Amino acid sequence: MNLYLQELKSYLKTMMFWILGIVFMVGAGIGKYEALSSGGNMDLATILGSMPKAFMAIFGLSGIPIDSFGGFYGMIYAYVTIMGAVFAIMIGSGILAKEERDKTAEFLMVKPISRMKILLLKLAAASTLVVVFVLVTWGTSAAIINKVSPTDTISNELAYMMIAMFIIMMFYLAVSFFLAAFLKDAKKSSQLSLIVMLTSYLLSVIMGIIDNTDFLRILVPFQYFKVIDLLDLTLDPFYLVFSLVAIVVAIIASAYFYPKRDLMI
Amino acid sequence: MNVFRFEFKQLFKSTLSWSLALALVVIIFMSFYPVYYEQIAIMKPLFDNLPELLLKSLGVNVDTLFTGLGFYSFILMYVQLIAAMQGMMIGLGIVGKEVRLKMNDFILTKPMTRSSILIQKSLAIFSHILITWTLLSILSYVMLTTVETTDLKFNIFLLFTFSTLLLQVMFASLGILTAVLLRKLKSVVGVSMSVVFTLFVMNLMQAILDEPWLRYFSPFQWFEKSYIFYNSSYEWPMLAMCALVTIGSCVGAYVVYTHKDIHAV
Repeated sequence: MNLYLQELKSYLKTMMFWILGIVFMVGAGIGKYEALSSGGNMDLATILGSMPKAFMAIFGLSGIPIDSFGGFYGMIYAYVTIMGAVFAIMIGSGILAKEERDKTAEFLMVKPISRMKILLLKLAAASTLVVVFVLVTWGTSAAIINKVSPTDTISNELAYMMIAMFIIMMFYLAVSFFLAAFLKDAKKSSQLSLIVMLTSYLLSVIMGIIDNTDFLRILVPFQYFKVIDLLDLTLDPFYLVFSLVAIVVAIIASAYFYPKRDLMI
Repeated sequence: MNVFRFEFKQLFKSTLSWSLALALVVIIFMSFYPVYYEQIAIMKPLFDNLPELLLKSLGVNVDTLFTGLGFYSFILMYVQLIAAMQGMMIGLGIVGKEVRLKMNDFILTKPMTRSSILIQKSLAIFSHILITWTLLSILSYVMLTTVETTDLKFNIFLLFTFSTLLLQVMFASLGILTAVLLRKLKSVVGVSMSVVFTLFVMNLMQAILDEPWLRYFSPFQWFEKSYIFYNSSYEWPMLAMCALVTIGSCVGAYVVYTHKDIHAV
């Protein structure tokens, strides 16, 4: 347990910055709803809604019905999720690899805890940080929505979006955690995580512009749970199962490889 | 010139991968142009009838929507995301190398002044950025001339592609400054990814926020595509902002690096 607490403590400062960022993003974003809805721009939303997919993509609004409050929040959700993925990858690729990078691996490994336990405690700490990220987003969103627009109750939609965000973040966390556990070179594993992030983001952009690209969806966690479905209170069952399985597999694989591999000292 | 030569050689592999990544993005995205055009061509009559003023207020230019160059200006955002990531990462990586690997005593005991070390390193960084950018521009031009059905406005293309270089240099300078300021540098990828993606998402969020003052702090918005299309020039205040940040970072890095206490280990 010491390790778990120590990890949480060492990420405290980072977490504070991220919390500030989330509060700013959510606050500034939702705060704009009043201006948008009262300024007659909602007609614009209806016009835009009838445009082809490619056109919407240019405005960065693909696949999101912005003519309702839930849809409007869906945009903010999409932005926060991108940052969430960045956060998850940073934690996932750092928390395990930093011992070798900072030359503290020997210090840690001579302690009377097994490598497996180290791995699990670090994973628990990383997951806790992801949970904090999601809960902060959830809490801030609920509070600000309530203040800005008490008549629009989207708490159910919000809950679905937050669950989707949590799963996506856990997916990136598990993948980058696995890369750090599997590869000896911390630099390489973090670069690979960056490649995973950039590729999946750019693919999601392509899916936004071009029709009939659903075959790419499995490679793009950002597209597993579409905002339209989330607003209908559904999580796509196939991708729900797939992402959960992928997360579990990545964790099991980390637990399989990490206790065996050579450490870079 | 030893430091320059050494770092220059070291960077080749990284430049190769970044150029490949950029080439892939340009080729893949641009090859979607015909599909995109097919989807959007039905809208063209509608836009031809809309008054110029409305289009202007929407930030839409008929040229930007229905030409290959317009499509290029749209994907430029993603090209610049990757280019910025490269700039930041090599700026941070090359100048922060000694801090990261705890090798400051090695390089600082050589018979060279600190300013010469920093200048040579910066030169290596900027020349590799120039190489990457040249390759990117040539490839973009080739791709554009193959997909463009009407005449290509060459001066506008130049403005677009040159804005990528300005952003790359700006992010590299920012990386150099960050490397000099940080007492310990843990993960190059982690720092670069959080800085670049935060600024990128800030740019995306402008779709909702629409705050004019925020543009000054959002580098991905400094070179507004529709403005360039309409006026065939950059916006002077934004260009000044870019120059200010770039020069400010370089000068700041120089002053700090030549004066700061450096811990041997």
